[in-house]
Amino acid sequence: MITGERVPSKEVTLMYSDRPCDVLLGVAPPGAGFLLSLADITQIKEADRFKSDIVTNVSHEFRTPLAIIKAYSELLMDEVGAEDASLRREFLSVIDSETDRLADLVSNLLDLARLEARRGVEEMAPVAITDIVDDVVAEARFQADARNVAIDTQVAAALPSIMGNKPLLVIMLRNLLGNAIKFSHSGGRVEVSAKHVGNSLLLKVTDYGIGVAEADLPHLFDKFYRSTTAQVAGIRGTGIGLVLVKQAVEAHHGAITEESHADLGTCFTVTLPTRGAPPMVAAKGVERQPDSEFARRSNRWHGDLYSEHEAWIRHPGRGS
Amino acid sequence: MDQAPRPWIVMIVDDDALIRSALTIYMNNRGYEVIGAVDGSDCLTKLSTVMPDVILLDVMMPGLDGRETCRLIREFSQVPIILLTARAQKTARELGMAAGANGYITKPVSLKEVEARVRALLPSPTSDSTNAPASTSP
Repeated sequence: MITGERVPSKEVTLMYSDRPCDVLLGVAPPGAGFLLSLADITQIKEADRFKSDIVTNVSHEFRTPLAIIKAYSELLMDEVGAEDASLRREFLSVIDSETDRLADLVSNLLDLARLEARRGVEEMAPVAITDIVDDVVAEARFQADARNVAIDTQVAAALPSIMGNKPLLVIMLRNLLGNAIKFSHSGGRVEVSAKHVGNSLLLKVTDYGIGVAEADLPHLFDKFYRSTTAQVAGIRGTGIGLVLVKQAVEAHHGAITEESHADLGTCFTVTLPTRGAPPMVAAKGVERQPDSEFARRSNRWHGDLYSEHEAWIRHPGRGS
Repeated sequence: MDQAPRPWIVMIVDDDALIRSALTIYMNNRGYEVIGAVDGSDCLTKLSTVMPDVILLDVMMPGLDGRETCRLIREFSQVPIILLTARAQKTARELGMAAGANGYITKPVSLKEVEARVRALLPSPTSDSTNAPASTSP
């Protein structure tokens, strides 16, 4: 092997703490001695899988509301049977709500893409959960009033602040509360509560609405999954909200549990650590140790491999 | 033309209630009788009691999907079937045809086009009388 020569890198899947981990394995002589490199490319591979999921699912998710908007516009423009004013108003409200659904879909997708892309590198700062609850509840009032649903807030006094990312926590609570309102019956009530238990902050969102059938429970956090109860009740959604919730909870090293019964309602409990939380991991991949020449070279080489791989994922077959 | 023949019967199979009702309203306004079905198995159940002249079948439905439903219908009937789908890929179209469908329309579809495609598949080419609106103008 001549100095500077590079052996083609190889992609392998290793098990790490019972979780499959995609690793890019390379051997190269950086000049003095040989270098065996292991680059964690799990995130890149996940991003890649995420992209193909989006392509296959999103076209359907976008086309359905589009199909409805188009059909009802056509009904409004139809010269046959167009004289009924109340029917016309009904068609317009269908178009209006499907437009909202498309808008929700777009913003949820953007949130999701942002979370997927920046997973693990969200900035954490002390956050008062009371502020998050107040903001999100205020924002949800309009939706709740429109559905004639009351929001009952019970936030314990003097809650400790947590290390968190405010935008993520807002996305989390907004989706949980939005779902609770959406799946409530008209005239119903949803509850948001926060309390401090041990080293954790317990955040609960409860509704007494249509609930989730047992068969759907294992799939609640699957991308684009919609529960049968929601579909039967004709309640629209994007199948992304709870995915966002889960990712936001995980970014805070928290946990989420659900309890639900069809026709009785649903309760989500989020547990967030108040202290002793492991520090957020910075960008995975290259570990910087600028003091050694060897490490500097190896880092550069690692970085090259990493970006090469990223380029390969974008344009498979090219280069490599 | 006082004694019109029986109206054409169209079965609309779609899990989306809003799509179903838009198509129903549009087709009713044009004198068709519409039977709605919420999914593949509902469609098969209803076919055991009434045979429509044309079936509009959504492909992406939970449970028994449109393509599989189409294949099952072909085991006992040659009723014209148009698949409605949100997917535009060529392979999806070919698979639909392989399942025995007579036509394929990609969503978002125009109601006018659906009606034209349905009309084209009706047994008698002189079916203009069915185009008269069901209700008279005020």
